[in-house]
Amino acid sequence: MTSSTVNLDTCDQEPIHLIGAVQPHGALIAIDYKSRVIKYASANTHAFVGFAPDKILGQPLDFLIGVENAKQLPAFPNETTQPELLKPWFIEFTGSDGKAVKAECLPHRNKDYIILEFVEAHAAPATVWEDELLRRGVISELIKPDALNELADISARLIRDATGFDRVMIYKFAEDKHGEVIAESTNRPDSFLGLHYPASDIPDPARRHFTLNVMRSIPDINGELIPIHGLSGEVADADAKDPLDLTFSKLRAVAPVHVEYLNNMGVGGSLSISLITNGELWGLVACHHYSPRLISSSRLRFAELLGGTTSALLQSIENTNQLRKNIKAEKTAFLIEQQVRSGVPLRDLIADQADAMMNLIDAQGMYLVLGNDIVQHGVAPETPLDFTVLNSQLKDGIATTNELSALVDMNTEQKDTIAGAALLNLSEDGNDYLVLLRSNYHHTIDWAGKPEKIETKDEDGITRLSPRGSFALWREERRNKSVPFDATDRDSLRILRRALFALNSVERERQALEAQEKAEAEEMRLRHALLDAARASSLGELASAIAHELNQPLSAISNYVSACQQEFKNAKIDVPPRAKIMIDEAIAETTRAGVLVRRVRDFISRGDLNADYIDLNKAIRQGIALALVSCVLPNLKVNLSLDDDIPPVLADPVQIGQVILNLARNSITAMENSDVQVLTVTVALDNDYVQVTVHDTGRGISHDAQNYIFEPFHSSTTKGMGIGLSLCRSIVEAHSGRIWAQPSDIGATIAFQLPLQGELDE
Amino acid sequence: MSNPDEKYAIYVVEDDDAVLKSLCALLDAHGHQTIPCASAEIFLSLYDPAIKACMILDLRLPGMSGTQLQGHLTENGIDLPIVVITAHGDVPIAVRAMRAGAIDFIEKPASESQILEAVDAASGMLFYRQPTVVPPKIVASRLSKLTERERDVLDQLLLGKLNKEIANELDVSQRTVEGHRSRIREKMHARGIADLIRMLG
Repeated sequence: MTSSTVNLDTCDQEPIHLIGAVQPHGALIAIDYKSRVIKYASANTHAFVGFAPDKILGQPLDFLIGVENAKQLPAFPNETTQPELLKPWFIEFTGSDGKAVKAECLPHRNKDYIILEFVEAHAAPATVWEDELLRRGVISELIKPDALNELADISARLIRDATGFDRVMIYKFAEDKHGEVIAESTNRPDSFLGLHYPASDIPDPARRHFTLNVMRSIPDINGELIPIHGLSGEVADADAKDPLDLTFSKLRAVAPVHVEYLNNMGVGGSLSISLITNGELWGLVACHHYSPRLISSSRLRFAELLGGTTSALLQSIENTNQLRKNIKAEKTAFLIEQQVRSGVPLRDLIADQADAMMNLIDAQGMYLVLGNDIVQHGVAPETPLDFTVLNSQLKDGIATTNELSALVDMNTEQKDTIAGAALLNLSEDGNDYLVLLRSNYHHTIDWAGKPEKIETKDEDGITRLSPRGSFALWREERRNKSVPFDATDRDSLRILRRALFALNSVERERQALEAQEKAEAEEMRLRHALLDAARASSLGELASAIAHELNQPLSAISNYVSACQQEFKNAKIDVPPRAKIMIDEAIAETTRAGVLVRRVRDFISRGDLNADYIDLNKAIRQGIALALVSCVLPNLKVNLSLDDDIPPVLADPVQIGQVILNLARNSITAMENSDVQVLTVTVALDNDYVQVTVHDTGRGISHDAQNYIFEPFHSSTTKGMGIGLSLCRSIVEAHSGRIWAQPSDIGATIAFQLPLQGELDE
Repeated sequence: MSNPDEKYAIYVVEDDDAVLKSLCALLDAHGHQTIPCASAEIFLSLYDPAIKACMILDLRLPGMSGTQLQGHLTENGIDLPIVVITAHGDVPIAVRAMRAGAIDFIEKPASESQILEAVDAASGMLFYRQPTVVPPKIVASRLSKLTERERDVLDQLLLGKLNKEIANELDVSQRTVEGHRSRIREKMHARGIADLIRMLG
């Protein structure tokens, strides 16, 4: 079986091609392909081929048209073909009454039959010649326009010129199969231009016929139906045992529903030419005459040629348009890409390019969601809509609908504002997306003609099968719907989405990187703060330690001198007055030295405690992390045995961080030559205190040393000044806590306690 | 100023050898009987409850600290009048020691008279001579003479804050704080923080 047979099988399910009758302007016979015996004949054969049906049924074809003519019958391939209007076969033979019969014959094969259709021969060389001339001018005129509507306008005019019909309209079918009149040429005062017809106006079977049968001529709508009889005498319609398939018949009688439709419009004769692009029914040229109109075969041929040319040009223009739109989409995408590189955030760019993008997709509104960031543009509902349901319908990252309200609950305001949406997914996780919004269809269409002005025979209101009724129905169908998104739209959307998705990914990465860098900078800042504080504290501690150390000898000097004076007095020895003055001066000088030391000490004080209720665990982690930065121990293992349940402690996080830092550094230094290098920090609650214990596996602290390690200038390491532990003690004591060294078998253990109920503010 | 009828000893607990010796020399020269202790632990080993005594205690000691010793004595019911001796930087700790019952505190380096006055105050405790209690009415009238700023500075002093800290807190210079302090001492008839703490707690 061939493809066209498959199509016919589909058609078999519909009765339209099995109407069993022809129009009266020609006669039809069908012969068996093999035996060439006439099996069917229309009742009007006598008028067109000179024999009544009963004379020829059952006879071989030779009997009717003669052997020589019959020999000219083309050898059809073993499949269904179409009558070839452009290859006319003018035939002459003798009728039953001896009269000469002149006719034009259109043969085609359908399954087991060859159908021969006979119409009056109008061909005259002069007319054909005229047509040729016309054709040349016409083609050059047709190829001029590069806009769809312009081409349609010219095509409509030319076809009306060639056919003489009152009105020639060009319909374009949308993806949803509804039709729109995009061009019209007429001598009538009214206009159908801009009218929309519901898909149901041209039912699927008729649509298939339009695709298969490019040309359909109905010279007289109300012409008599001429039945086709088979050998048995039965009418060969759908009810017959052996119906005749008239799918490709030029003469096929008109379906009653179509007759009604045309009558409602007052049409007397019609001609339609299918416009087919890329193998699809793109549209129709509909020619209406307000009285019957039979045109010659040559004119029909010419009209078909025009239709075919128009189709080809339409296809080219459509392809060009699509290409242009794609290029425009690419340009917009490129523009955005370019500007993104200059550092403008994507959200601002999309906002900048909103009009261009909306224009590209014929959208009226835009809605951009980048995480929690939402940008609206153009027509958008006041109450935000949740578009996420579209995320589940993504195809290539795009989802479109021309009836959003069928997917999402929408209130009246939202329904009035928008009807269709195209969602462009911009991130893998679906959190970022762009939605282009289309308004309601009836907001966007315009119709040059007013429904009231359309002439129809209908006098009692609007009939279903009238343009006005159709338009009303179409509007009803379009309620809450937008212009559908077609293949071109989706191409543009894909181009935009591809660019935006890539850019958004890059931007997201950049943001993530920035966030990371920010976090690292913050971490670094904290470290510096801690180090700065450590330096300042060390200096303060140093000043404090020096003050302390200097004060000791100063005290001793002062005491000794005072004691001397007293001893002289006790021994009743008179000190010479000048010596007495000098002794007093010496004492005064020690006091002055004490004041100086105090000044220095005050000037470089450790600074205030910036105490707050802090998470001790966090301060410990920071201190340890900082100590590890400069750590060179390759095998160091750090155990942090922290307790997330300890309550916040009133303390200065930076200063406590320093205590940990100093203790950890000491431990790390002490473990430099140890085989096992483990640093353990434990936090535990001990009644009203939190105790932090720092244990290492280093060389440990001698028993003697445990007494003085917290004194300044008693460094147990060769590095540093030996004020680290002194500083720790100062800080811990300033927090009303205490610090001590615990005896341990391996390494050193230093512990400190901080009170849970801080006493800093008392 | 010692009264020969009122015999008592002074434990001097101080880890710095020179300070310990010089302090004892000074007190000895003034007729006091001193028992030098180089650490809290040594004091505990030498302590004789039979001897009437008071104590000069350095707060910074290796091993058991002065603060810990003070706590230890309180816990064990040993009631020695204590004069705390401290380095300047440890004022907050000294303030805490005062709160814990110390009689007075002296900052190093201290003058002869400061030391002797403090020891007199401590020894006075031994013979039921309460340190002069200033009646609340008088304290109130002295307080009323302070300016608002001086009150602020006083509050900070009572917290044991250093001049620099007070200056930061009140957003003035250290010199200004020193000025306020001397006027406070004048108006409150106080020799130092110890007096202020005694008056105002």
